Amino acid sequence: MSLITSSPRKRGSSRWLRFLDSRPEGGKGPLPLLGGNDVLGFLLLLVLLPSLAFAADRTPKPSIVIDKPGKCVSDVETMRREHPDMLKHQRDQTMHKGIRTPRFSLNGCVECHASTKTGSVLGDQGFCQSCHAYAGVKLDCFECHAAGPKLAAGTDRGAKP
Amino acid sequence: MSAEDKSKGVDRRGFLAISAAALGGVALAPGLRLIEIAGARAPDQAAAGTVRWGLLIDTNKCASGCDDCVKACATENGLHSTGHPRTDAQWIRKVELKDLRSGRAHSAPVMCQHCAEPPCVDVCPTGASFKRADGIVLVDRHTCIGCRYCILACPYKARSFVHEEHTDQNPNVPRGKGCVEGCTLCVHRVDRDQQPACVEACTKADHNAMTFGDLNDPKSEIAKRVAQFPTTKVRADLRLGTGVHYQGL
Amino acid sequence: MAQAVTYRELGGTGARFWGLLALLGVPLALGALAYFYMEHNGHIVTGMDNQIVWGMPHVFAVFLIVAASGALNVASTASVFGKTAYKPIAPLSALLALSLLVGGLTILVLDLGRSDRLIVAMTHYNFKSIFALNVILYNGFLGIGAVYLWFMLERRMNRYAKAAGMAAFLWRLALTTGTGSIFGFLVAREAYDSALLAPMFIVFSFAYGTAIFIAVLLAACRWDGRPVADELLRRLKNLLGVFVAGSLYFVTVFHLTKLYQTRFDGIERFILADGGVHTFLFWVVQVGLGGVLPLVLLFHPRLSASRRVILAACALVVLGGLAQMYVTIIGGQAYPQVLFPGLQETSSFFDGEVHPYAPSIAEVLLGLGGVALAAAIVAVALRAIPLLPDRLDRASGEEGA
Repeated sequence: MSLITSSPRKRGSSRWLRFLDSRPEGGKGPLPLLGGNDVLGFLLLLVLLPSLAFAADRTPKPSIVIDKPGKCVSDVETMRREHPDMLKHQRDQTMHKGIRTPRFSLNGCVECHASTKTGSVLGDQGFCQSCHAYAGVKLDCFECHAAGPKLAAGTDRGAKP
Repeated sequence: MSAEDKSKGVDRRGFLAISAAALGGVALAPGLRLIEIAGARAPDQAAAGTVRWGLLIDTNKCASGCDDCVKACATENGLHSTGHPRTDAQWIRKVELKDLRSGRAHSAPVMCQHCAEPPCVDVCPTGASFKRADGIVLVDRHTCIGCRYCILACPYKARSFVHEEHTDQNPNVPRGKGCVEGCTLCVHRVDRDQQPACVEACTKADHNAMTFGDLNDPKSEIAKRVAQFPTTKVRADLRLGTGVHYQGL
Repeated sequence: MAQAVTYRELGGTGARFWGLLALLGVPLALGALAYFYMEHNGHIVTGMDNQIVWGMPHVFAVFLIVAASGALNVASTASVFGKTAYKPIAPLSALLALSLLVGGLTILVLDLGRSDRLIVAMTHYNFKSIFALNVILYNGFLGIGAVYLWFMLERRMNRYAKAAGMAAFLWRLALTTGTGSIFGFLVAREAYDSALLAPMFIVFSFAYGTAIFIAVLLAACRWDGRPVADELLRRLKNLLGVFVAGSLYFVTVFHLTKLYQTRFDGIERFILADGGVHTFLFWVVQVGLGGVLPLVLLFHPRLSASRRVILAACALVVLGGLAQMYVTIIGGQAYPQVLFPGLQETSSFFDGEVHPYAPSIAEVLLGLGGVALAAAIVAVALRAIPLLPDRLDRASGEEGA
């Protein structure tokens, strides 16, 4: 019968295990490792930080320039809320079933929303990119999808975000 | 036969003829409807399993130096040379073949064979490599993680890996760094009742070596030719049921 | 009389340990840099292309994964086959298995063209794909291995250690079968397409895993001045010798079969005769340095008693293993695919010609980073958790049941 012994307090024991077992001196308050002051500070930050975020004007607001006439496939609120799901659902339909209704075509969105100046939905003032930069959501679509309407051979739409 | 019988026979024959014609019309009409449906699919209709797209390539008509199909594919799909031939994507290429014993030389275009049992679909860990209901084998680049296992598995060296970033894609052909790609049988054109770019270019240049169509439709040009002439498949021993047939190999 | 086996964390001065970690930190950092460089610029910066799609990272990754399942062998011998002499070193064996697997998987995942899509890989499974099944097998092994390690270390759970050991043993057999089948299932390459690859990889795993285990065991005990019995080492080196012999057997049968079949004349001539670097690596490194020489060293009556010689044999087996992976993975891709049997093929897509491959620094650094990760995990675990016995110099049979 083998007795496997491991003893945090015996010779050669790991300092890390001892630390996890021990309590710091002078710790008061609801949690064993934090003092009362720590908890108050944390609560203050919790309240203050959101207000600090809204106060700053250093994040440029997205530029939503619609320079082409016509209506979008749905109203603004629906599009803002639902466009990720619409795109994700539609892409599977198109890819796997070959359903290519013009209403949900990504090319259709891009052709309409591409800036007339840059010919792209990317770039600082790009329709897609400026909003996504503001919201901090990575844009993966245009790694593969063309960011603007079909160009003449040889032209480059410029750098990726 | 007496005159009387004859008159009776004409009536009977006439009756039979009329009813046969009527029956024939009734039988043909749905057939006409079917051809109509197979020929044009509405945008909101899913690809049907009743259709099986295929290619027939007559290599007897393939000139050794000609690469019209290759150039057309590159133009259509936005594949351009980056100066690195070993990493540049090629969806179709002309393979020059030579029998060393007899000296016979000929050439054939090789692209994704759109197998009925594609090894690339079997091995893809995420299911990004898939076969559509109408037989076209595609890579869903939303799900592709770029593991390149399908490139290892494809017996026809049909797939390429995108090694660099691209910014000038054809809007109808999305392609990007880190994903695997291959001949799509110009699915974006096929879905709009057009021919793949390679076939169109070959026909326009009057070589007429390539035929595209629905193998399941007995009235289609390709089905008629495959039924009439002997055709082979590349690596037929693997029994993958390729959609691409060759003559003259 | 039952004697207690005391397990203790690795000691030594803190400075020495942090020095070791700092040393391992260098390849780790370089590996991370290599990853970011490859991921940002695309695989154009590597030596891989459309002809050789799996390169040095995969050589390292598959080697580590195969060695990982073999490293568990010593623990299995103890728990499943009841060889009590190996019981004290079973926890180290399990730890090594987990670390090597993590190292290998890290390289594999970081080399993906879209490594940011790991979540996609974890949530979309094509169960017909042996690759997808492997993902499940690898993750499952990490779980089962961790549970097995826990049962071995926690006194109250010791009685379940045998069951966990059996589960881990069977799972690791499935895992290595899966890894070998990644290549064995492919009809597209002349060098693969064989059912033998699965059991061959299993025997390879025994050899590579045991070699690495012996080396790590000796190194860890040397670090702390813990004695290791000659008897234990003798048993381990004999085990390694048997596995090396088994590996040579499988390689022989594999190639003899392909040599007999006329249609494989091309690939066999390539690997065995005129494949340049691949032929050199096969005969000189895989078979010679990694097979025959270790066999001689391990079974030589006088030489095999020396620890230095045993360590040298372990190093040679590892070297031979890396060469074997190179020949299998890269050699298998370098030989052109046969689309039109019997005809000479040429094209703009490099049909019909042997494909050259020159690994880039980034790929090698990524591979070495994975090795360093495995080593770092072992080092940290040995220092933080009592996994290694105080002394391994009691004669076998005296250790407890």
